[in-house]
Amino acid sequence: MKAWLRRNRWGLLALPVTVVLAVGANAQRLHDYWWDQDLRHEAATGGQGEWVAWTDPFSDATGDVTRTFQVKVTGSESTDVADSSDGPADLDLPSDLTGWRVTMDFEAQPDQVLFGCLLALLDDEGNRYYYRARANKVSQDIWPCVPQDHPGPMPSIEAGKPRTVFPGEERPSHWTARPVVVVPRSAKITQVLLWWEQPDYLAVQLN
Amino acid sequence: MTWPARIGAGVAVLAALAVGQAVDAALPVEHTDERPFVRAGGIGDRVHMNYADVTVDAVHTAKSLDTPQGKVGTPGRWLIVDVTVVAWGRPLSRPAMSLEDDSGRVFLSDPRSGYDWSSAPTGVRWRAQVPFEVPEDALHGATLVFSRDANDDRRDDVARIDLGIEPGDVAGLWDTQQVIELPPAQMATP
Repeated sequence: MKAWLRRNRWGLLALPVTVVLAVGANAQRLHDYWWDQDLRHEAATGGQGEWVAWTDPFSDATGDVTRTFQVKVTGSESTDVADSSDGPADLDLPSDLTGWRVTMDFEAQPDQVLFGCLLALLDDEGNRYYYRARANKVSQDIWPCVPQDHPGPMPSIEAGKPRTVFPGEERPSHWTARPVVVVPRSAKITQVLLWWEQPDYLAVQLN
Repeated sequence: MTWPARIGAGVAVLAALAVGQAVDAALPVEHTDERPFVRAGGIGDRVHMNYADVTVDAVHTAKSLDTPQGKVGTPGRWLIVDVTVVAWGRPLSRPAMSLEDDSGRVFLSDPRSGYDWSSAPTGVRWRAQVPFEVPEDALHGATLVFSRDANDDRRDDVARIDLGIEPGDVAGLWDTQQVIELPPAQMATP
């Protein structure tokens, strides 16, 4: 037995490594079809009224880059109106629903790609209410965290082409966003979630 | 290695293979139970599932549908099912609805009808009118089948809602010249 162990020692040492590699090599589908298909990783977190900073890695046609910004949720309350391009407009919701407004201050360098962000509210029962630009009859900004007319640079979608900002759409370095999400009146909203690509997200705990 | 040890090792390997084969054969891998959990109901019942509550509010028939592409007629009838859906947890983006008649035939809603689901937001009563093109003998006993996803209802909740069409109702439903314009799926206003 001793002789056998000695003769096969390299094979035996390699065995656990091989098993790990074999399982790992087959885990791609788990990553693609499960891990990446939902919000799973709280990459940045903070509370209402405090600045939460996040450097989120992503890739576009220019390569692997990051977006860096910080956000402070200054308000979170029930509302009957939402901001449309023509100013505040009545949501005109059934009595069992309400608008929920989140007021957020943002700070980011104008060259950071914040275009295309997504937002959801989480209640205490785990329901996730996604931001929709169209809240009943009111058309809000398309993206909940950048100024509608000044979204800043868009990711590059063509190899070799740089990121572009449409003329006049440069983003300031400070701004405030006030998206409204329709939620049941009985829902107890506990968190604001902000993300671009799943599974990473930023979470702000509400008061 | 001595001869008895070699024979012993060989027997051990064969025994391990035999055990593996026996376990493999005993486990019902080929016959895993993947049936959905059926939640049954009738018209007006709020059928609760883990991803949504579904209510069939009414059914009616039409001879043709008024769509943006023009009138869409049928040699049969359009059986239109008014449903109210409340999604839980996440928005409900692609639920599947089909109609099953009492002989087991399945009818799907055809894009020709202009019907298109739009994602139901979480916690919001979301109303849709879903048209199915059916022959006369499919009306009696028709059941709406509602699932989360058209391609995969394995071990998931599925609602089966009896539309309550009795033999005596068929003639009345069939005898229609009505033209109906279907609104897009939208928030229910009381």
